[in-house]
Amino acid sequence: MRLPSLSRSWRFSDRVKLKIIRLASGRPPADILKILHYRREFFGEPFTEWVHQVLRGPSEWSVGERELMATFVSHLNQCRFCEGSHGAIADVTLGPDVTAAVLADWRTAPLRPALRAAFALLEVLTLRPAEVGPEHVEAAYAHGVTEQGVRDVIHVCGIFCTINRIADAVDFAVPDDKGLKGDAYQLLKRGYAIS
Amino acid sequence: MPLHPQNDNEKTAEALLAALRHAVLDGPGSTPSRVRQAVAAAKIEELNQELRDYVETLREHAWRSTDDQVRELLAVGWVEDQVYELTVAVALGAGGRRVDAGLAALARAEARRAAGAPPTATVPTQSLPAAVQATPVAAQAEVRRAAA
Repeated sequence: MRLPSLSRSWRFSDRVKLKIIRLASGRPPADILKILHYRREFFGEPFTEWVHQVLRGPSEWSVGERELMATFVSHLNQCRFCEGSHGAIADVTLGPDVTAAVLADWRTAPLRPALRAAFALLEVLTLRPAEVGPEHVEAAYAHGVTEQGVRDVIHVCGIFCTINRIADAVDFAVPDDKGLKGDAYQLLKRGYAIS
Repeated sequence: MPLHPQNDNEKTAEALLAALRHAVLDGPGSTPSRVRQAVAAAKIEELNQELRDYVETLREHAWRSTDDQVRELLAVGWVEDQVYELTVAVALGAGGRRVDAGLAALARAEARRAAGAPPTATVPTQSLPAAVQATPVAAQAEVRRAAA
C-alpha cells in the first residue's frame, strides 16, 4: 500500500476489530478495510452506508446482479482488486460462467433483457459520462427496467468509479483466489456498512 | 427480486451520496476544503503542476498511477494524510460526476415521459459494429478513452 501511515492510525475499537479479523481469517485484513477504518468519519462510514444501501438494500436487481454490475464497472476501469473482489461474489451468487461471459462480452452473455440493458447503460456511463442522455435511459425502460432500477444502476456505477480509483491510487494488494472467496462469503453474510 | 416499497426510515442513495460528499469535500481535514473541492471538480487550472499530474492520472486512468507520483507529492511537502484526502476527493469527483450525469439523463427521460413524448431513438444493446464487438471490453475502454 502506497500510504503506509493509513495502516497505523485507527481508533482503539477498530484496532481490536481488525485484529480479530486477522485472527479469524489467518491473514492480514484487506487493504480496503485499513482505508475504510482510517479516519472513518471522513470517508469509510459515509461511503459504506452508501454502498450497503445500493448493493444490499431493496432493489429490482438481485444481490448477485448488482455484484455483477460492480465487477463489470471495475473491469472497465481496469481495477484488479475490485474486479476480483466483486467477481468472487458474482461467481458465488450467479455462477462463474455468467461472470466470465459478461466480462468477455456482455452483449452475448446469457442475461435477461433488463440486465443486458443495464450493462449498456453502465458501459457508456463509466467510459463516456458526457455522452449519457435520455435515450440511454429510455433504452433501459424499453427492456423493462423501472425508474428506480435505472437509479440503482447509476449509483452502482458511481460507487465503483470512486472506489476503483482509490484502490489503484493506493495500490491495494489483490488477495489470492482463496482470500477472494473468503472475503466474498463475509461480504454476502455481513454486507458493507462499517458503522 | 421483487421491488420492495421504500422504508420511511431508509435514506435514499442520493441522500447518502450527499452526506459522503459533505464529509469529504466540506468536513474537517488536513487539506483546505477549497483544495479538496477543486480536485474533485478537476479544476486543473487552480492546481500546481505536481498535483495536476496526479489528479489527471487518477481521474482518467487510475490504474496507471505509480509509486513515484505519490513520492513526488510527499517530496514537495504534502503529508500522507493530505495525499489520502486528495485521492479520495478526486475519486469521489469522478464517481459523483457519473451519478450526476446519469440522474440528469434520467430526469430528462422522465420529463419526456410525463409530457407524453415518444421515446427518442433507442440505443441498441446488442448491435455495435462487428469490429467493436470483436474487441475485448478492456481494449475497447482504452480505445474510447484515447478517443475522448
